[in-house]
Amino acid sequence: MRWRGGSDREMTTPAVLSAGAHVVLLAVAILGLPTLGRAPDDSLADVPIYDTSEVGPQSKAPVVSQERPQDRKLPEAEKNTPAPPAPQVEAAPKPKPDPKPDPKPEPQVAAIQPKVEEKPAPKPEPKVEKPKEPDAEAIKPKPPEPAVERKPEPKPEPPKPEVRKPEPPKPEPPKPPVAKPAPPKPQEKTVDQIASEAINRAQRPPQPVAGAGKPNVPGTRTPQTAFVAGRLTQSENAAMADKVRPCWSVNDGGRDASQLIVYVVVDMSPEGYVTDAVISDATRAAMANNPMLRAFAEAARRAVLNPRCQPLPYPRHKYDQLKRFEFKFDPRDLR
Amino acid sequence: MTRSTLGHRLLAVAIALAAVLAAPVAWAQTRGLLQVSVEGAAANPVPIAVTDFVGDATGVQLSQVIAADLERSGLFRPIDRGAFIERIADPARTPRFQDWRAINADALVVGSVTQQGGRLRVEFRLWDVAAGSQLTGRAYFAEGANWRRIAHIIADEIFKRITGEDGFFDTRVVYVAETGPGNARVKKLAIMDQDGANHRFLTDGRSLVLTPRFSPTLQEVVYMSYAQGAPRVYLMNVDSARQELLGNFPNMTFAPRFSPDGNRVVMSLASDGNSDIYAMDVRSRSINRLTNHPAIDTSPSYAPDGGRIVFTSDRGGSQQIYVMSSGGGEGQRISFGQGRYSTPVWSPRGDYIAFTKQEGGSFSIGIMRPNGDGERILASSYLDEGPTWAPNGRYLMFFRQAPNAGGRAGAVRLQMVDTTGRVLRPVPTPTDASDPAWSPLIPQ
Repeated sequence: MRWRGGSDREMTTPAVLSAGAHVVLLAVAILGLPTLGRAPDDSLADVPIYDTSEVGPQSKAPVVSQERPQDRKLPEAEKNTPAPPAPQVEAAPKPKPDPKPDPKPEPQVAAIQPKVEEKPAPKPEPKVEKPKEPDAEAIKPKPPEPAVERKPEPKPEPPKPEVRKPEPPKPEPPKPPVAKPAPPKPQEKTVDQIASEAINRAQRPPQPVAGAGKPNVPGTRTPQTAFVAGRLTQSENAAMADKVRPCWSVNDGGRDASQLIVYVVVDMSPEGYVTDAVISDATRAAMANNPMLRAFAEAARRAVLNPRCQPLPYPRHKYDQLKRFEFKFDPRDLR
Repeated sequence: MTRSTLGHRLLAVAIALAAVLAAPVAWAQTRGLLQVSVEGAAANPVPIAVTDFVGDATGVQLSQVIAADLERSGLFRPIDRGAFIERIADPARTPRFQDWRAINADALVVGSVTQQGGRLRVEFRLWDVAAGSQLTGRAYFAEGANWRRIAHIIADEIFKRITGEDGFFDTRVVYVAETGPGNARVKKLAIMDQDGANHRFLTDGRSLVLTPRFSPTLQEVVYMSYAQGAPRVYLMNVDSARQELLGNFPNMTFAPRFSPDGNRVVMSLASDGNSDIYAMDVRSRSINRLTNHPAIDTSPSYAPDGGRIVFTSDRGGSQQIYVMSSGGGEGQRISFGQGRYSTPVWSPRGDYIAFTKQEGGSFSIGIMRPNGDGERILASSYLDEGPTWAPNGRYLMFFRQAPNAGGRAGAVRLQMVDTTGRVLRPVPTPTDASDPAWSPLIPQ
């Protein structure tokens, strides 16, 4: 109790300060900071120009030949070849302190632009609700096709430490096939299914892909491929790839262009429209110092976002597996 | 065990541990995701909207030059301005992306031109329409007369940002301008921007000039001229038009070409009916013999790292391409196809050697890998000859002569082709034109 008597006065001041601070905080919360009042105008992109350069005339009249030993002007230089004016190197009114050319977008850009170029990896919940969209109902209660059911790996899919977006709780229970204990009968599979499974089997083991591609070219054959499991038939894959391919414009004469492979993670609505496309982390890491790879990856992302190349003709009964999937772009036949 | 060995082992263990810990993260990102594989890209040009730059009246011309540059590359398809929905009034504002998506634009260029203190300030932004993000933005100052150069520099920026490769628009071309009848042909050196603008003559035509070659580092050319009666190699600064004899040899010198660092010129020197290859230091004028063979060795060209030289020789019975060390030596034959090969030029990118090939009744421009693999013919006609590389190693220029008709020589014109052979464009010149030499990117 000693502290009470001795601290009554001492406590009064902090209490007043605290109350005042809370009032101010409340006022700020309600009214907003004065400087934030301009925020609603999101059309204003105060994008700073991050480099300024003095552009001289056609060339900077290199210092050559004046002092050369055998210097002698031949009589044939025409009069219509005046030397261009000397380059202007005066300290011009540079608009900004001229930060170095930085490939990164300016912070202000990110703050003001409606969209950020590269989305941050962890994406919170909003996407989780996507499957619940009204239209989804028509597709969602899909009776799983036998082909899927027969797959010998109805693995309960261990809890995913999903990095980017939390997947909606897997509606695994509704899968009736699990109840059906019938072992897979190979003879009932279609050719496509057999081919697909063979491919998947080959892809499944998470082995390093050291031998694939040309390891000396950055961005090629990223180890990511080793961890990807595919469960699409070849015809399903081809249908989706054929839809997107026309929108993928690349510099096909670039050096080692055929060796560049990029990955884009895509979110897709039940109607087959791409709602989000993010260059995969592995590709992004590889393209940091490879402009060609960056150009390829950005072209790939533009392709999947292009409305001309949507909706994607995906197998509707596989929407749960395809609401987020990965596009692998491999321009292998380029020269 | 020494301390350093122990340290290495600990480091190895730490790396292995980090790899083990990191693997699940990579695995977690993609595990369970289906993969759709898109193999084989489309060689579609990128649809791009280049809007008129606002502000100064120069803005419209500037954007037209940018659009023309991009179109000429074959990798872009500028969208007709008439289709634009949004009219850009303030390039500092975020565009309405839906308007640009509606006209199928993948990329959008906006900009402004303002006068500041009697000089131009040009600012541009390149937007990724699909992603709704700015890809790049820059501002430049220049004298008003240099607006075309700013346009080329901006086109280079756009080209590089979208394709990942350096551009080639802010460059110039020196070539041999030809006029007059075949038996009294006048040949002058001329220079112009790569798109044909800012054309001017460097010599008056009193002396025959041939084979100009640009320095890779300076605005200088070497070329062969009959100015003193006999063919000799000269050096000229294209800005001052000052020229000088490069070495004073008793015999004919020809087929000069700079080393990648611009410090040496490699050329042929003929003596007693034989020609061999020599390298000369441009500053000290010291000379070094590189081949010593009774056959005709000529048309030398350095690899971009300066370590090797490609040249032609008929030492095997017909004119073929050989590669040797830049210090000289025997050389290794790399061309084995039908026909005769000449004028090999090593790409600045290092991955190809361009050449002229004569086979049957036609001349072609082709490329092959430095080891002779992967020969591809890019263009072919009655006479296609004399390839020269753009500084990015993605495009070539050469000259094409039409067959003679009615006793008159066929027209000779410059052409540009890319390494896929798909982009073939004429290059405008005021007169007949041959022997083009592409400059490096002009230093800013």
